[in-house]
Amino acid sequence: MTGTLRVLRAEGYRLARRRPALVSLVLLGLASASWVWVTWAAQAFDHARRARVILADGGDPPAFVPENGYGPLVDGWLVGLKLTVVVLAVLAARGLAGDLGGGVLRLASTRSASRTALVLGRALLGVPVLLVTLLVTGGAAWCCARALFPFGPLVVRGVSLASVEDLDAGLLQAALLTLPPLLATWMYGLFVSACFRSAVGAVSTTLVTLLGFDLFKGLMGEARYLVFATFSPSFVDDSCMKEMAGAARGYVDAGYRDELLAMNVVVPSVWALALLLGACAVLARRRL
Amino acid sequence: MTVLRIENLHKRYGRTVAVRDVSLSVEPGQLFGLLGPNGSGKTTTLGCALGLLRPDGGRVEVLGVPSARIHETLGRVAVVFDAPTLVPGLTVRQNMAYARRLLGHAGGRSDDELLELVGMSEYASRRVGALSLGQHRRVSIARALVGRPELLVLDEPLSGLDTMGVRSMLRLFVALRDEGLTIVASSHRLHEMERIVTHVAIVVEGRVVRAAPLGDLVGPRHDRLLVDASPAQRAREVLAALPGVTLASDVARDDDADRATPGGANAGGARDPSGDPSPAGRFALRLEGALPGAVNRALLDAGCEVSRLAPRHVGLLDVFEDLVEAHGAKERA
Repeated sequence: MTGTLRVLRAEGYRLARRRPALVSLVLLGLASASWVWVTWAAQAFDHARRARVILADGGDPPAFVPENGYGPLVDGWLVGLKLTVVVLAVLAARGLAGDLGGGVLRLASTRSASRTALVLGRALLGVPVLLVTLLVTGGAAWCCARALFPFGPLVVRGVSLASVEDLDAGLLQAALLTLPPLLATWMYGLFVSACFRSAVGAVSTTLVTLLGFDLFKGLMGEARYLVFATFSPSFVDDSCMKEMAGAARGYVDAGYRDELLAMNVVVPSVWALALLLGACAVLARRRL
Repeated sequence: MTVLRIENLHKRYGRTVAVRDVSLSVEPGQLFGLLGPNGSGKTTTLGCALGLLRPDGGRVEVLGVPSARIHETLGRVAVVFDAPTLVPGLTVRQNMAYARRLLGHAGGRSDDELLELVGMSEYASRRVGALSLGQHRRVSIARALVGRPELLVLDEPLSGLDTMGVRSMLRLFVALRDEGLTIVASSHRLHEMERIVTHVAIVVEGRVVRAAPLGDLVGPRHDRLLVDASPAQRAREVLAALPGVTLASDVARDDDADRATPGGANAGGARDPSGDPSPAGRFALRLEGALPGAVNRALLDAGCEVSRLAPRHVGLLDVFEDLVEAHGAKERA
């Protein structure tokens, strides 16, 4: 266990000093905030266009009231999370493979950590990385949304569909449900990384397989819910957060069935565990 | 306690046998050279010893721990690999800090002291990508010395270094040995390693063909002669015809590297500044039954002038050549 913690500590130190990692984090936050701002700008632009027409007709245009902030907040957060999946996959995939090719793993394995610890330490690193990215993307989207949009109960055509408490609870649930698939994505990157000797090969394989699945998962029908990546925020999005974005705008067909909510937790968790064990097994047999 | 014990080690890659029945032991305080040509199995042997490769047979213990569990030695073994293993993207100092966290070793020399030891203090803030190969290796050694290692394993520590780099590296190894650190170094640079090692194992085609203290292998040998005689042509003819004498294939490279020529006799002889061939020749002989007196007498009887006839200093390279020859003959048989 101490070997695992040593690896975790060292990799955390290293990650915190890698410029690309820090820049990626900033860009994730910026992407989330930018999306919220773009949503606000689009609404403001649309309102200005309509106001100009009203003014041209000699009317008195209404004041600009942006939509409820929950919708843009979730949208912005979702954009950040979609990019987070890419960043997590890249970070996890380059780790072991890059260190295997670069010989860094040899150093640790001869002095302080078993091969299993080398994998477990990196796997555990996924947890803080994931939480930080979740907080940064969510925090950036929240700050921007708070500044630009009003927040309140969800009211559609005079009918109150959800209170602020309901929306907050739904948002929290969606964020928590995003964790298992993101963790599984990290483990997937780690597993692929253990199979390769170069970071380039591992990263490209991880991204291509994830993107390939994302594009063609529709062909799998309901069977796609047996794959962890289905629950991750992605470009062809089936994630819980995506459903929350619809629900926050009052779309009646938005939201996961109870069965899917359970699968969102179980399927990625089982995958994550299996991929972690697989990575350990592969590295145990590799020539370092 | 024996620092490194290898018994009957076997390792193959597919059909290729990389290491066959290698046995050796390294005791505390030794600077042990695992020497041999490229592809002879040195790195594979070290890889098995360090638990990086799974042996197909035999037993390897490092500081009393089986090599597969070498991490349980908890930093008592330090390794510097041939290929660069520093973390790219970090500075020299950050690499040291990373290693300290990864290895979990407190105590020992500080990072500053280690960088000072290897002469890299002024590069502490530089990113490792900007370092030369020699600097890279120095930092790798500094990083390996984090904590309190008892055994330092160096894989081809001199490869790729220029003359000055080799010299300073050898000085560093001697300094570390003098501090009591046990060092195992693999290298194909026999001539340079001869200056620093205390014990040697010579590896040829995956086998240890000789393992002994350096003093048992090198030094003046009475069955090897160095003869200066003139005229060179006549002396060469006499020596070639003399029973129990073999002209060595390479002439005393230690002190006559500039005049050494293959083929036994210094065929062109020493050359005078005008460029004309000198009649004097220098010959390295291996005596196989003949006595030095008989060689001297034969040359004098043939009218040659003998200005020098002395036991020849045998270096590791000579030993290596003899062993390779003997190994080849044995394999052929």
